[in-house]
Amino acid sequence: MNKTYLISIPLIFILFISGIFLLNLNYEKKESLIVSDIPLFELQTLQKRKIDQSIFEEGEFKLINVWATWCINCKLEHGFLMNLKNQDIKIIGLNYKDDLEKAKKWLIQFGNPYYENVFDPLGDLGFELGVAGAPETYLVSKKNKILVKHIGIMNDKIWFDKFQSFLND
Amino acid sequence: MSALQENINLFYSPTDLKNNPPSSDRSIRAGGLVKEKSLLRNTDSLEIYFEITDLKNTIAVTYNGLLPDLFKENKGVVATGYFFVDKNEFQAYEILAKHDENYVPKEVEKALE
Amino acid sequence: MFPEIGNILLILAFTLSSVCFLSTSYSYYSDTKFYDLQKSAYIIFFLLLVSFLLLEFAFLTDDFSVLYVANNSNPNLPDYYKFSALWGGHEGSLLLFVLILSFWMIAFSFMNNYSKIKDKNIVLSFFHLILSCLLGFIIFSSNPFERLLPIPSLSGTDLNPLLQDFAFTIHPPMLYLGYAGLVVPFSIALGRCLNVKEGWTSKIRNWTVFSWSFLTLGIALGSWWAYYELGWGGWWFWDPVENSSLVPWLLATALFHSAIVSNSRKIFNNWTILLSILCIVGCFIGMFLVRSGILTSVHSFALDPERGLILLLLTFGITLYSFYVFFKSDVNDENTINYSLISKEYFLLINNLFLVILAAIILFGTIYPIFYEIFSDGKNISVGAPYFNLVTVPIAFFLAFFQGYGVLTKWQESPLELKPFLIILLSLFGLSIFFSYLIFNDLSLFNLAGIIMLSLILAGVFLSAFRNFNKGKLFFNSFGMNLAHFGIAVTILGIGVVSSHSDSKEVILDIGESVKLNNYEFTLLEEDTRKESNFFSQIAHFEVENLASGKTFNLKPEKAFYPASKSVMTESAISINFKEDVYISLSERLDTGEWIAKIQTKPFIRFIWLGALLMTLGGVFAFTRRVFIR
Repeated sequence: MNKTYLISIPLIFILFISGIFLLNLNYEKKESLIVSDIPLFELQTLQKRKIDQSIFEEGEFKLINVWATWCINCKLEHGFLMNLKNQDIKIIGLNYKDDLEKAKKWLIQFGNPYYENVFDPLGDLGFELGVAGAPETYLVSKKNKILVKHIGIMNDKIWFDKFQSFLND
Repeated sequence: MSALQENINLFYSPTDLKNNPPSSDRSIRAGGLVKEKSLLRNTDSLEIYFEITDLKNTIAVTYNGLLPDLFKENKGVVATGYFFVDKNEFQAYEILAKHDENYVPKEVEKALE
Repeated sequence: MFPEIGNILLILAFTLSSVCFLSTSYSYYSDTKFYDLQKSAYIIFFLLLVSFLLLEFAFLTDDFSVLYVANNSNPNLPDYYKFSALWGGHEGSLLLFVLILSFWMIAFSFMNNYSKIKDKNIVLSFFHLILSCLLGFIIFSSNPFERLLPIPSLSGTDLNPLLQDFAFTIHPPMLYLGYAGLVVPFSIALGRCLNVKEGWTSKIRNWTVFSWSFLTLGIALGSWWAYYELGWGGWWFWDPVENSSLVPWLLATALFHSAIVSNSRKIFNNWTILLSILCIVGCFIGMFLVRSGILTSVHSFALDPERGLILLLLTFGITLYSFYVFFKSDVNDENTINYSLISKEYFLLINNLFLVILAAIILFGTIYPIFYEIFSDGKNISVGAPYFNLVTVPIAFFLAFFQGYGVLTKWQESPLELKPFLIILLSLFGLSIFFSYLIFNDLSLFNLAGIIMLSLILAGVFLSAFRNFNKGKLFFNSFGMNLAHFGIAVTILGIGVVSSHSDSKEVILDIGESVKLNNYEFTLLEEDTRKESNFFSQIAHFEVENLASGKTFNLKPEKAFYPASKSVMTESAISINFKEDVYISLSERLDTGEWIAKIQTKPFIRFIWLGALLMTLGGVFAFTRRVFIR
């Protein structure tokens, strides 16, 4: 067979599928803007005080951060959350399917970036929010609408790419 | 090519099933979270009933067989089978689940968005 | 401290490897002096080995300040699994891969002497090309030594329980020996494009056969693992991960058959080079599919798209570069011969054509969901196993058809001696049908296809072995080839029987209750629990009676719970027997105390892996005979 064919046919095939892969990888990144309300709930904080949706006060941006002591990746983003706290950003922690004592110990040991922590041992609020795992972080608008949902570790890059633009509005 | 056409299973979320239901002679996959407290089991056979939700809509699923280890309420699930729009019921012949708190099947993740 | 050293060693290896590639390219294109780079190959291997051992050390000492260790290990994990947990995740398995690749590099440079330093350098530079790309990928986006500081984890998430298993500990190393081994023919072929001609065809043939053997074993181990560990008795799922190992395997099979022709007849040269490149491209596409998270699969590593993008760029770059070198080359067949329709050349050409088509079809089915998602605006699909079965079986049938008589043909032109072949073929066919009736009392279409393929292959193998035996050279002339072909027949037998005669039943049993399946009666005797360091489990004791022979044996399937990763595992119990496996897996325990279980019989399933083992042995035999006993 002619060498030109030998080269061009497989090459075109490979380039074609690489192109498709590339399109698909970019496609994944497009995430739709979700706007939904904060669900109603009634649970306890880590200090066993009663807490409900009224913790979300209107008029300011808040984050909901889903975390647990069994979640390795939550440790990775912990430092970043502490930074956010130092920038006066209000983070509501959702302690997801965790052990109360372990969770308290974690916060004493590593520092507490949270404004308040909702203790959700059975994942009830998590279910209402559509939490699939930990860590997850949600941006809640001034009017208590959930604007962004991020699955996975938070860092500077994700903060600037996905969250920052809403804060400036 | 035609073999490929006949053997692909389209993925539907409960909302998709409600908005444009597929014909009942075509095998499809449906996925979402297993709705809490929806699992019912027939006491003397392997028949199982549960509901799949994407937090907007819910469909009923019947299945005759063994559930995978990772099948749990509130967890992601993908069922393969046939959808009967008149009964609003999905008859599954295969159930796949993946339980890892850090992981959800990609399709389910999308359906939930 | 140690993880940082490991990291530095990786960076050194990366730098050295890149320098080797760049300096050789520079010397080649500027026509200046070549430096002997043999030593640097040894140094790179040593650096990677130490860095690998340092990571092992972190695993064995439970150093959870290392993120990768924290994500894949646990203090309660038995030491043996701590050791193998290293390749349980993405980063560590890549490190193992580059270690094996550098091992192949030194093995190759140790065993093959080139008369000119220049020639050796050119071939080695292509090893360095692949090695430095992967090392760069590890260092910049998948570093296994990344620290979890300043807050080290206390306990670690645990190795996925599915991977806490013997077959898994050796499956990835074998597979990687196979994949990385394919870099050897790739380097030789590209070397040939730059005019390194010394024995290139025989080198490609030998080294491809060798790495193909490991690939075969690796795939078979994966299938065996899936069979008993995933809990439901399937041995092949047409899962994207399995497919992406099957595609390079098929291409490698085509490659060494083509290299045989290039070596003996000096034709198909360009085709052999093309296949060598495609094998590596196939490996990289497979690696991309498995590691980018673009496809969901039971085995895949859940990962972020950024890594996928880098892998895609690597795949793309290596493809373009190697095609460029190939395009610029001046390789021609050194022989112009006409071969007739019944000649070894022609049969091997057909073999190659079908193998490549089969690889393309499987690849296409695997990535079709990705196409579909783009062109249908985000709809998700999956391609079902029936597609793969439907397209592979007919092609495999044709392959067997040509394989059977093919081994008997001679170069250029051979007389059509159908008589002895047909006699053996028909007697084998008759015998198989007879035994099939004797054992299973019926005959399905699938089984019939299996028997025809089996008889065709075996007729060729037996006749060829018989001829060699007559010449007194049974163990020399093509013994390895005959053994491997025999292995294929054994695997086909296994697949045919297990696909058409397996039986299963899903049951609910109370303690003391019995149920029948085929010739067996299953009784649930009692239940029990046990506790190990990292899991605890519920056990159901079954007594199984073979009604035909009256013999009984016990099976104890388990349901294990792993607290560290909060996961449940089905530990099936299997009675292993050449004729038939009896397989029990537990589903769940009902509140009433009854157990839901699946009982299965899997006739001849052992033959699938036995055949793969024979193929491996055949390949290793052929390699050793050619390389060590000339």
